[in-house]
Amino acid sequence: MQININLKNETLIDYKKWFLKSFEKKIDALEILLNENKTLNIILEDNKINEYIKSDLFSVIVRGLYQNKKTSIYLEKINDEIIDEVLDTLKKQIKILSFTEKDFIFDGSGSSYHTVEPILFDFIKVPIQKKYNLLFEFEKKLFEKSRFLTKIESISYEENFFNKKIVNSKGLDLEEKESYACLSAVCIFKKDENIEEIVKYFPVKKFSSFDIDKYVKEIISLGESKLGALSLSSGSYPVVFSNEMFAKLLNSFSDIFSGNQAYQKLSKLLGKENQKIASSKVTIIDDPLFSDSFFKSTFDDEGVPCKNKYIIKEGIFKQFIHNLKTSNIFKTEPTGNFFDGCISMSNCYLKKGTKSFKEMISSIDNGVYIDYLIGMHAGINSISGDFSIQASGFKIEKGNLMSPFKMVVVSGNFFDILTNLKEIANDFVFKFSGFGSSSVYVGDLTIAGEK
Amino acid sequence: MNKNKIVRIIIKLYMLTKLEIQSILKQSLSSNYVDFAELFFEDSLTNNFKIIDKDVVVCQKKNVYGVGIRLLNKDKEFYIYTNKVTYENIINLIKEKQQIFEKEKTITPVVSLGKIKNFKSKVKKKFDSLTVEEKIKKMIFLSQIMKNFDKKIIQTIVGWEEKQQKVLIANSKGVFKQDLRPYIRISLMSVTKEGKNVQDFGESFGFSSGLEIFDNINFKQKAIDVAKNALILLKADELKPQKMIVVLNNGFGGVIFHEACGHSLEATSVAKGLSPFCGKLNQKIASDIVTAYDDGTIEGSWGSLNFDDEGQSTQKNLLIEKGILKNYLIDFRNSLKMNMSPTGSARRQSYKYSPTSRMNSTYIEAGEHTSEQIIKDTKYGFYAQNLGGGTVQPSTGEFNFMVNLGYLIENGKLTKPIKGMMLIGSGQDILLKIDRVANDLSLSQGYCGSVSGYVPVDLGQPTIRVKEIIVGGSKK
Repeated sequence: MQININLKNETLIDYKKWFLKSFEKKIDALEILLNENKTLNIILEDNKINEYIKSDLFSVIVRGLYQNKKTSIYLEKINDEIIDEVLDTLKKQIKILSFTEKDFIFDGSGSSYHTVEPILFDFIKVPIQKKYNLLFEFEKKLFEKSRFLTKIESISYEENFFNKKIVNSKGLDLEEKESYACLSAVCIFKKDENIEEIVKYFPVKKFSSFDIDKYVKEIISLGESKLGALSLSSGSYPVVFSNEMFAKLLNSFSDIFSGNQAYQKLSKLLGKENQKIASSKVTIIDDPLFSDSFFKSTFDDEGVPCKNKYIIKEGIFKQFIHNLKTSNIFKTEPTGNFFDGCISMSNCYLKKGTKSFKEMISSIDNGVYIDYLIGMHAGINSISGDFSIQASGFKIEKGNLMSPFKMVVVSGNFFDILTNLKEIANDFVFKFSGFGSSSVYVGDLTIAGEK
Repeated sequence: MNKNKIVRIIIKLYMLTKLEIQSILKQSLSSNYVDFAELFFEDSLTNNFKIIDKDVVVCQKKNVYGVGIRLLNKDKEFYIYTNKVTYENIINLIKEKQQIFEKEKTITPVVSLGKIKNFKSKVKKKFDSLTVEEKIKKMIFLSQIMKNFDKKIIQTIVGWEEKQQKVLIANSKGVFKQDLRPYIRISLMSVTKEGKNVQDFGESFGFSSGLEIFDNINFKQKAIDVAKNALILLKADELKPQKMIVVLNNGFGGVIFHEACGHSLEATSVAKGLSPFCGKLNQKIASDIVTAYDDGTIEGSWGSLNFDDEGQSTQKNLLIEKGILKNYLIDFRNSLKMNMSPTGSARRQSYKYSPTSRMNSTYIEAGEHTSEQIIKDTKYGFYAQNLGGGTVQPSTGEFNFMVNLGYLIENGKLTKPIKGMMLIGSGQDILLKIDRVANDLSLSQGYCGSVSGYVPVDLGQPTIRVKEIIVGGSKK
């Protein structure tokens, strides 16, 4: 059989051998994902560099397609001597799978991939002393600027480099690299008996982009504004979620748009394509190359080009997001949404509205503005859409943000919010998580508090 | 025995030879930058199966393999992890220690590694005592038990995760141990639908043992219970948000103690002065009827270990005795800061994490009442029957946890089923508000996430009653 593959040798793995062996074993197609990841993490505590953590990892995912079924093996022990064992195991695993839907390995033909020039700053080249000085400067300025900052649990600097490569026996050969660094701080503010913990992350693509003064200002103003927070009386309140928190909710509930979840009857949106499922104010887009996003994706983990698409357009549900298998089930073009072993968004956001935040809350007499949610992993149910989550934020009184509150539980349903939300502001922010939103006035939700 | 054969066997078992490991430890401490060195080798294999209805939809394998190298100078830490496990690579990596450490005047000697300590497996039925097909058959059986239970059950999912974690720990104090830790976890889920109302209920069961769990647990009954609860949720009401008396079921009810107290007793927070229980040893932090332990030695339990992830033997740690705080959970590095003994509580998800103090199997000890008595004695309250996960912020003591299914208590009786709400409180308050502890202690399993990754833990308690907690209801 003539094989036209652009074969390259990596240090630990010889694809040619793997692909040829797979053909010998009558595996229909073989795909190998290679992930290289290097990190450095430096932690400052009590004015001392207290931890220095470094990593160097190279991992491989081997995927096999046999009689239209596909599965994978994840390996961190890699060499060409294990080819037979791995391929035999893979084939055995595939034979056990019993679903009827077809799966695929992508050959890339007829596809065009966007070209993106990622900012690939080499953080390793920055002298270590500069990184230490950054941490010391950050700590010093934080303490200088606030008399209520009682302790800094930690300040850390992190840098991350990764290289992802996908090759397969059908000729696919794709590679992408990314690097970033991040400063983070966990700060404890105290006034009388009141304690507040503020955790903030500041990612950058270039070392020179770190802006300590800006970060200090943000942390101090937030920490001090939260002091004195008390719980609220239980009841029903008009609720506004901050831009960051609504982005977090969108992230947590994004499974409702997964083709796989829908197919398995685990999403209420099954069969609702082209139906109105939200207020006409709601437009949700998944754009892999979104200008504000930190990382831009040109292909997913199946090598499928990532596509810009409406998920909800002016309240109408447009489509699910897919991997190769579910796009075939739904008889639609693949969307390039398979990452880290599951179907997920690339860069997803709620389109901003026209009103300013101030305008949006001007009509609220007695409400709450939630800027912090904790317990999302437990309090979210993406099948029913129900949520019940610990929250904190600021009271809204006569159209203005007033005193802080904390130790309440906000409960509601995400599908109801999409349908009944009152307004979306224009204070848009796009997060490192790959989700973005403006502040949203969702209407009345129940709040559980002190009474 | 042939010398070459010995060398080959050694390489296969240890990734590196004992001589190489000894040499790495010696070189780590040479030139006086470092006073402690540790190597954590890991080779883990996980098999994952998932059934949806009758179909096998997932059949995957994952191999985690690598080494974590930890160097300390007092409590300052240098940690490197990699899966490029060769002697040369490790020697090269540890040279970077000079980025963080300064040269000291005194030299710390390295204790020679003696004979490696192995642990006898307590597994009665190995994972390969059943073929994959037999395992699938069991899973499909349980899935169909749930699916056929009622027409309103529209989907069922059964998960099977089995893991064998091989670890080898060697350090400059002479610790040289290896172990094979087995883990098996079965999860069951039913999804129900009635009109537009869709609900789901799930439970999982995990052990550090072998397939003998199928002899010890009636999984068929567990599957029926899951199906029943998923159906009850269709009829379950919402509650108005309020503060109320809460009776927490035994077993996973222990998540309240795990969040309200457990994390705040880990040296991870205490050593930094960031726990409401700092400086409170031998002081009252809970009501008199609360005695609690964290135990790493319960044979076969999900949270148990022969030795912790620093090679220290696990132990049963008395945390609270009749309301008085007796001890914290302490790892080696934090023991240096706190000037207290380590408690065999150092854990990490894998070689990719530096260890720190974590929980193993945490529980409130059984009391004297019965759960029926406690409910009977409650005029109005909430019975939290099935709990989900939770979170805590040790610096403030504020915690939360989810109740997936509960019942309203009215005049001492369980009345309406209530679905999905979060409960919150602060650890300092809640422990003092426990006013009843029943005699039906039971352990449940989960994964606990923190700075050293996700680790398997047991959470346990008897049925307990808390005088008041904020209950998040969604009824307007």
